[in-house]
Amino acid sequence: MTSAPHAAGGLILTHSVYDPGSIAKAIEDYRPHLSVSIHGQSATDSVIAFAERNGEKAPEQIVREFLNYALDLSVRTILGAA
Amino acid sequence: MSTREGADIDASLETVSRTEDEVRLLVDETVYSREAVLRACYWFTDRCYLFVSRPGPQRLLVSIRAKPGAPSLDRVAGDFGNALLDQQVRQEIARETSRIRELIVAKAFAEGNLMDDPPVGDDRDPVEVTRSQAPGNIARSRDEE
Repeated sequence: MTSAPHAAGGLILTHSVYDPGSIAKAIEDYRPHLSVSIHGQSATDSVIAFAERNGEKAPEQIVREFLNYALDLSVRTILGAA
Repeated sequence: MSTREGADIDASLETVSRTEDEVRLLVDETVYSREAVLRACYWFTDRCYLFVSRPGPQRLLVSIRAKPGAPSLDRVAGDFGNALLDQQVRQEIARETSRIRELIVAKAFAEGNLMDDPPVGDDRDPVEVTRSQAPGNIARSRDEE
């Protein structure tokens, strides 16, 4: 798993980098490969968690691909709106 | 870019940790804007795994992991630092030259009669205007009449 900041088992995505709408779209697009849920959301952050499937942790490489994808979508959204 | 040892030399982009498969760079947002960081990240998602967090105000922490088959992590991290600087400079140049670019575009559209409304202000080339107002030109135009 990435050494990203975790909050009570979740991963904190700051909204100044990860746009909430893009996070939701990334979760939706990765649904066939990865089970991601939003544990909490504030004005500044979203906390996401990767659910286990069949008792196994989410594959690390897919988690990283997911985070890259969420970042890609967010950059397009944030800079597109700037 | 600096390491912990050289942090006093340049703390705007600092390597805060380095493991076998991950480099973490702390970016000072008073030097590199969030936009520059985002643009640099965008260009690097094809060659490495990135995660960006905010450890504190005016600070962004970029975690970089090389993808399988990608160049060495040190090289990717170094290239990322260069890309970040490149994006920041581009952004500053764009800001400094935005007015002149607007004028050039307005002039181009005005000359091509592509706009319904004339551009705001005087879009004529000031050199041409001065030249046309010179006494010789006025005399010549009178002769032509």
